[in-house]
Amino acid sequence: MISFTESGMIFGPYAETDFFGIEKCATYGAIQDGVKMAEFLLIRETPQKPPCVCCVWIVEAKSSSPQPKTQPEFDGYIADIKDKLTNGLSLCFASVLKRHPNTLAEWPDKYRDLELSTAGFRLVLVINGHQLDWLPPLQDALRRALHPTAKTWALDPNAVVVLNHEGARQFGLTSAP
Amino acid sequence: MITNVELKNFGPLDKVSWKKLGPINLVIAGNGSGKTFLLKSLYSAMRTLEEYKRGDDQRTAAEILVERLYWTFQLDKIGDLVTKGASANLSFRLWKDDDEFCYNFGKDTAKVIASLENHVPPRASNSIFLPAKEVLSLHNIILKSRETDKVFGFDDTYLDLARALRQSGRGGRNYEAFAKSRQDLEAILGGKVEYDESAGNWQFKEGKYRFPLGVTAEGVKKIAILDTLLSNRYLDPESIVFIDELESALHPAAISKLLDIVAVLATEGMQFFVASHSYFVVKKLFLIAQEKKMSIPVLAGDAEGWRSADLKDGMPDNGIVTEAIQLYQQEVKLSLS
Repeated sequence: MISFTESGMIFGPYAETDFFGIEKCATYGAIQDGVKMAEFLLIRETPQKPPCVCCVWIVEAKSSSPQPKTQPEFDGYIADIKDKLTNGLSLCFASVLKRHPNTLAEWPDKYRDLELSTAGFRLVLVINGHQLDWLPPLQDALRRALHPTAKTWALDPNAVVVLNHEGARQFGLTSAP
Repeated sequence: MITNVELKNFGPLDKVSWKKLGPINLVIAGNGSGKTFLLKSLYSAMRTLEEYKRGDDQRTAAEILVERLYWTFQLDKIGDLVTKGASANLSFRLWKDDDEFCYNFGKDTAKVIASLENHVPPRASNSIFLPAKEVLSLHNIILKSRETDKVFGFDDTYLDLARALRQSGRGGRNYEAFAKSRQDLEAILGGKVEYDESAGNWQFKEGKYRFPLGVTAEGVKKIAILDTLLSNRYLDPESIVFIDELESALHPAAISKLLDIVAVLATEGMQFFVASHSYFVVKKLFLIAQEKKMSIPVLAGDAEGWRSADLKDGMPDNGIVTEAIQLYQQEVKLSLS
């Protein structure tokens, strides 16, 4: 099982077969110059939603965020998260499609065997300590920024999610310290 | 400025105590909770104070108040305002700056309020109540219904507003404090609304073109009302403005712009009481409170009663914010479960 601390939260425990630390992997290491990357990928089974047998969560973790009222800072923050989550999704697709053959072996079997045409994807931002009532506008802003990505890859309309530390724990992304 | 209010057994409001009021004050609660009732009770009191000893009016404050309550709440007798089943009298107390105005009466009261104390000096300024429904299209109907036919239907808040709008602009320069606000209001409107004396109706003027007001949007009419009251000098920097459901018929962007104007007018001395159920109104006023470091008292009502807070200290814990969070949580659950 894998657990680690990031942005002041304890992520995991995750089964080794489900987790892929995309930001620290060799695949990203070879291309990282000028390419921002999400923290990690996590496969979640969704048996209740056939025919989609599994769902890949692309996760970025942060310890703070600006509020929408500080507009330039807020827009830059959203653009940064958008790049990381979009690039995480693209690198996942590219690797499963064997576009990076030299580093394919580092990907767990579940990812290499992923049925890209039917798999679900979730683009998840987790912010530690973020106030609950600031999450809805932040989620709306991130959804708008990721709209082209979601439409292009035919993701669910609700594929983009913003959680705080409590939400992350509630949905099993993190565990209590 | 109204600084404190205290109501007991006043219609749906069995007990309300709201202290340390500010230039902008927000009332939030669900439908039927008594928001409008509270604003109307304050408005009736302020209009009583404003009519008392004005010009050659010889009526006592109690006589003015009875008429005000009768025509504002439109009940068979004003005693019907006492909360049903209440054992004690209706009691109303308001402090204008440090001066108290208070009255109380029982459920059998028809035309005479025996207990009224007024320590507020006579004032020359006018308060106004902006109802949720627009009045410009109904302007003539309201005046006929109340002034000629003298029937219930349009209460005093509508009549006063229709009369205030009819007032033509006085000579002399407009209040400097209002000039920028008027420009901003007209920028939202994209034109001006003017009363056409010959046609006897309100028209929307955009450049050199004129349109009957009927074809313009409800929100335009609402903003035009405030613009008109600032331009004809019915309102002055000492006025108190009561706005019921500020958000009705307005796009969220227009709500934000209108509240920015309200904030400017409030810093010039006007006092505002806003009733709302809109998340946008609460959030925008919260941001104004933070940016201007301004106290914006909020009175939030729910099943457990009325609680006061200040937007300067954070978003209030109430049904509007809770519902926004609940929708978000529902959305997240739909996505991740």
